[in-house]
Amino acid sequence: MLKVSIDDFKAHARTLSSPDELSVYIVRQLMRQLAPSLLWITMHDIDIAHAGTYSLYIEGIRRTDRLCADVWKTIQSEPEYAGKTTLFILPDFGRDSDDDAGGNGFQHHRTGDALSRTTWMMALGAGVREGVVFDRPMESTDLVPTLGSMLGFSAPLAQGKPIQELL
Amino acid sequence: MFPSDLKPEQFNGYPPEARKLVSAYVGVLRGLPLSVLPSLLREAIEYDFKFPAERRALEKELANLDSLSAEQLRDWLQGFAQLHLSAQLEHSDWINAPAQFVEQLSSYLWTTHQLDAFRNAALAYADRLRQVVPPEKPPAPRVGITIIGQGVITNGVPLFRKLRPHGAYFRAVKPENGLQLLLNVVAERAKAHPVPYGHWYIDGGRAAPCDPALTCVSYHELEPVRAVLSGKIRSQIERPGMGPENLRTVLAQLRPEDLGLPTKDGDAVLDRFQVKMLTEGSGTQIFSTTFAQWTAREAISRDQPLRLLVRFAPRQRQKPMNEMLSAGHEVAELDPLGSLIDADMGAYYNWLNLQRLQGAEQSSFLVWFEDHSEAVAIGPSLPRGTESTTAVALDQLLSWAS
Repeated sequence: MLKVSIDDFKAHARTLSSPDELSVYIVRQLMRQLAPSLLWITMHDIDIAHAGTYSLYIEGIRRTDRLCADVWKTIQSEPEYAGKTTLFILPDFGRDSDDDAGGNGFQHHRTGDALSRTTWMMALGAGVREGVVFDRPMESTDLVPTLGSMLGFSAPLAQGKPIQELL
Repeated sequence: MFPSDLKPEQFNGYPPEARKLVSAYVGVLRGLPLSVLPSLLREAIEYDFKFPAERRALEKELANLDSLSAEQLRDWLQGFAQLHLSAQLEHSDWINAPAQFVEQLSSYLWTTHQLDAFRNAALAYADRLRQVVPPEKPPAPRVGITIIGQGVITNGVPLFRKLRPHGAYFRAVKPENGLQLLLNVVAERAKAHPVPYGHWYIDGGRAAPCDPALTCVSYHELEPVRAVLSGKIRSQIERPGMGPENLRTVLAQLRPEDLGLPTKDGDAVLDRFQVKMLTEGSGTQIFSTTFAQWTAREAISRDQPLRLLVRFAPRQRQKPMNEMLSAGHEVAELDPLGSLIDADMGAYYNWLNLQRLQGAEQSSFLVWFEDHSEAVAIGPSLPRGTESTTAVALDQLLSWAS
């Protein structure tokens, strides 16, 4: 599907520093070869936080930040996507608060406190107003129905609601 | 099965001291909601291997519950009683496997949107318990020491940023013989207050000679145990259907004898503690900085030590993917600078965790960049957010902080 030989794929993997970089490489290939309407990328490098090493966690954050920018730049450079693509970026969890004795700072999201379950989402690109912050509480489960509204598919099993600010 | 059906003989699988403890309170345990009872049993089943402070806290908690009337008990636990549990949870073996029950309960509460209600019930219960059974005051002010940066020659990263606002930052500490000076101080104070497990030395690498008055844990000394554990993890991962949650459950069931841990002077409590650091900690098996931080956290919260010296050592370097794909089985390299950043944060967590203990306002804390001239001292007599260029030895600095 990627139109890359196994040898070329392996050779390229040997030039990359992390699995997320390989994921973004695959994303670029898919965008160029197949130009799908919806691409869902899950990045895992930041999960090194669960190993408790703060320096590697910071490295993971910086790498992921750079890779998100790379994906955005790729969108802008591909004629199939430029000017007509919306990018959503969101963490899957928050982190335990330093103030919660049940947690261990940045390492996990286990305590069930508000910080571990509250996070953010960035939306940019086609149809999104720039420089606007929406503070009202939203659920991460709102994402799929929002995508459904934008792309024209229904999500009858989704528990969330379309985010009106993005439609 | 429901708590109301409990019988003393159902605890026959518990270790002897735990069985005796729980059997004495079966009457009150029958009145606890299923949403909270296994959490209590999870602690009770480990009673034989708990530190003295934990044992006393558990005994007091059970005695308090036993002293409540039926109406008071309902009032104390009404938040838990209102939670709805699944039939699967009700039918699980929560008596003999309370830890597994709590894991499943957590997942169930999350998916059924009852986590907030559980959390509120737990906080309300803990607050109320603290009012009736306050934490014990320490017999002497606590002292925490953290040594970071072993093996770092030059460092361009500003250190102690999270701790400096809470104490005095010293730029001209005399580093000569610093580790030994600090170990001597801790050992002397341990001899002045000989409390079992009251004084700890945790080393993330190869420990310096350890005074018998101290409880000593060293990442290096546990190397054979870590090797056996790594082998077990590898074989488990290769099993079909084995995921992280299943692996966690399997690891939590390992005992010191499963890992070939030679009983250290017959200290079953410390052996169990060390194994738990490796089997229940996340990343402790791989990274020595994580091991040191997590072991300190657990020692603080479980044992409430009077003195705690934690020395971080360089952890192995995390190889980038391209190196992992190309490399053979060479010896792991170390990452002193990354470890310094890990340990700097670890020192902050050590202080934060010590602050949670009774008597924190009288406690003191020292963090030192090993073999260098930077340190932060925090204590009741030291001004906050200040800097000093006074040349000072580490033992003198510690006496100022205390």
